[in-house]
Amino acid sequence: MDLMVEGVSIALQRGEELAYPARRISFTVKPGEFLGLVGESGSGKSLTMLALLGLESCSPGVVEGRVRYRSEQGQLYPLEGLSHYVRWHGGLPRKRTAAWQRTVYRRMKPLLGRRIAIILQDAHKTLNPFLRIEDQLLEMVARQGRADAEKAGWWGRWRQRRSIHQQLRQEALRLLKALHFRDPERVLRAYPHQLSGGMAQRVSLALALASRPEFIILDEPTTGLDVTLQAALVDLIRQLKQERRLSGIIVSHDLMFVGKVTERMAIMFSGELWEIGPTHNVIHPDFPWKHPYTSYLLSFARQKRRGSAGPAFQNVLWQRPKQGCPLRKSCPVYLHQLDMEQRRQCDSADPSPVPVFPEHYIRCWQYAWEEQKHAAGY
Amino acid sequence: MQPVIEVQNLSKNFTIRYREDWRVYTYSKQAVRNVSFSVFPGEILAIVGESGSGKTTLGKMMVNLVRPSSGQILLNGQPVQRLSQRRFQPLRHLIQMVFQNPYASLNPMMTVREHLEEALRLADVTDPHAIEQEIQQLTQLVKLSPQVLTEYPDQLSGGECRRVNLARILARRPRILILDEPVASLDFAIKQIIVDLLLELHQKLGLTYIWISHDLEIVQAVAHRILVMFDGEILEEIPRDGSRRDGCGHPYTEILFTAAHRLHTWEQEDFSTLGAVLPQPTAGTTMASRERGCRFRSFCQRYRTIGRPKLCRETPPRFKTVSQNHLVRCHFPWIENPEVTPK
Ligand SMILES: Nc1ncnc2c1ncn2[C@@H]1O[C@H](COP(=O)(O)OP(=O)(O)OP(=O)(O)O)[C@@H](O)[C@H]1O
Ligand code: SF4
Ligand SMILES: [Mg+2]
Repeated sequence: MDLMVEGVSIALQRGEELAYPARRISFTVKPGEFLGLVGESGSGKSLTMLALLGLESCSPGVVEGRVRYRSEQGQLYPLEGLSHYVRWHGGLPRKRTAAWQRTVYRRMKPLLGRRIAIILQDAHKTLNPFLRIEDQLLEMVARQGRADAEKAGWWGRWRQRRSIHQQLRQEALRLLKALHFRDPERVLRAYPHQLSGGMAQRVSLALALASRPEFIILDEPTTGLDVTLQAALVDLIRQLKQERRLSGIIVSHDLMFVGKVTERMAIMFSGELWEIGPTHNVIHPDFPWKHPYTSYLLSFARQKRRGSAGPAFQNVLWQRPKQGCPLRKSCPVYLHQLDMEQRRQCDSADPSPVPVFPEHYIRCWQYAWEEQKHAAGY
Repeated sequence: MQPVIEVQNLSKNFTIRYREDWRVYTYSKQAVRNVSFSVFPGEILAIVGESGSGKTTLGKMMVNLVRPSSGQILLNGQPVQRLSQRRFQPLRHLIQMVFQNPYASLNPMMTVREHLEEALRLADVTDPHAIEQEIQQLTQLVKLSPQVLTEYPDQLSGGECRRVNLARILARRPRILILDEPVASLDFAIKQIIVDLLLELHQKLGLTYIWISHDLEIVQAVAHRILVMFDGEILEEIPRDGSRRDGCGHPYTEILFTAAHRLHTWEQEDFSTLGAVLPQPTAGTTMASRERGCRFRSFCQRYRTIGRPKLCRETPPRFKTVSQNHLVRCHFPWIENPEVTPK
């Protein structure tokens, strides 16, 4: 249902010290709503998603802030407990004990892979190379069947015992057909290496949908899909949103694809969010308030190819300046439009999010000044 | 001009076997059906098409990683489809393939430098001094920064990973490269950089490319010829310019271009009309049952609008030359309302 992320920072072990590939990320995803997370590669999008779910590959994980997930029944789950490190008031992050980890995982078990599904960028990482697609998909379908049976009491359990293989297969076939496979029977019998890139991608989508999640995280879902399938995916997501009130996050750099399926969009660069707001406003060319980095991304997407969209923004993920706005070294507005007074402001402090529209925040000093003028009654 | 690759009536059948109740069942799939085309030196030939339509299989057959079921592949006039791996070895200098998943083709236990060294050793460069020089040259050629050399594949970004793959393959100095989705899942900026790099290499080293891709925009910009594949068959061959000026085209290509056009606008589009090529959950149309007539017809909008003619039902269409270098495999290649299709 909804996910609330408040001021999350993520740490990575880099040699002796910790590095912060994502800082002070905040957003919320409401029921039946998708959030698009857009940015160029290397801006830490996928890593943020993995860390939010406490996936092992990016330990330490979340060291600051809160992540809460509210399930359909209104139960709150604090997801930040999944991370391997904890940070006490101002101190350095400290590793949590294994016993803590075990308790947290036991508590989270009903959540991950059931209520919340994640699809990784590389489909072949999701699929087990030693099992036929059938075995993997039926496992997910059956698990959901079991959960339904638990809810249904003894009668359900009795039926469950009789719910034969065939029934599960029908369900699996239905899923594969919904993902536009021409010959789902053959796909069920195949091993992952016998599928093409786009087919593996769709199978991993089917695996995620088989558990009937409430919340789904899609990392680059269009990789390897041809344009007709991309269009079909747009349709499918819209349909799921309507039917099941599915919500989720789509991580992608395809602005136009994300613009078609999401309600809100967040722009990420260098491990920080710079703008978050209604999709329509963020990508609309005539919307007057834009972060300089958003304008840069849009101009890139717009002219499609050839020519330059202006000099590139410098990624300062690993060499973040101590003071001031981290983007100013490569920001065209800072370099060409601001006077000395204004530049000094950019040099001195990090901008904080400014509301420019209901639920639309931009982190840039330009809009902070407008805001101040406004408040002063100009 | 003599073609460097000539593919004649190439087919590939895959079978999937499984045992259940002490019996063996098989599913067979014809991934590539009777495909013929030729590639000329210095050309960029693009292959676009549906996911699972056999593009990768076709590429793998050309580099002798998959054995064709029938048909012929001529490399510089020499038939290679029956060569063993060892006999094919000398030809690997001629043709190389860059795979779809860049991470999967690198060994996670080896640094980038080790990958390049291994490739150079295979190219018979043994002198350590020469190896060092070659590595320098290669990294410069693909514009990799020297720090990357000590890193492991999982530390590389997508763009870097592709460049490492390219460098490794260029170490063997091939003349023909098969690029399987060279720019998939890269963002705008990096995509542009890689495309520019590939075009530069094409100019500088005089390479021939077979460019497999889903990105119609890039393909239209770079390719000299485009082949459109659907379910193992080539349906259309589009020359570079004036691609659609003659007002002809295959219905599938039309669908592809319409979808691309609609996806690449900022408006909230409705895609329900594209359902025609994508089997609906209940329909369950299988292509295999359609051995007579045009195999595309159950998905063909044009077939329906012109009243299901007998020709489509009975005779499989052959390639029709509709204008110079523009071949369409359809009995009725004329587009009724050309303004729907871009270009
Ligand atoms: N080793 C194999 N065994 C059985 N079937 C296979 C094998 N390799 C590929 N196939 C089948 O052959 C067909 C074509 O696969 P191929 O990888 O060539 O598609 P593709 O055009 O590259 O698609 P994509 O764009 O999704 O990568 C698919 O239906 C696939 O399932
Ligand atoms: S031959 Fe007929 S059915 Fe086949 S693509 Fe052309 S119009 Fe459609
Ligand atoms: Mg492929």
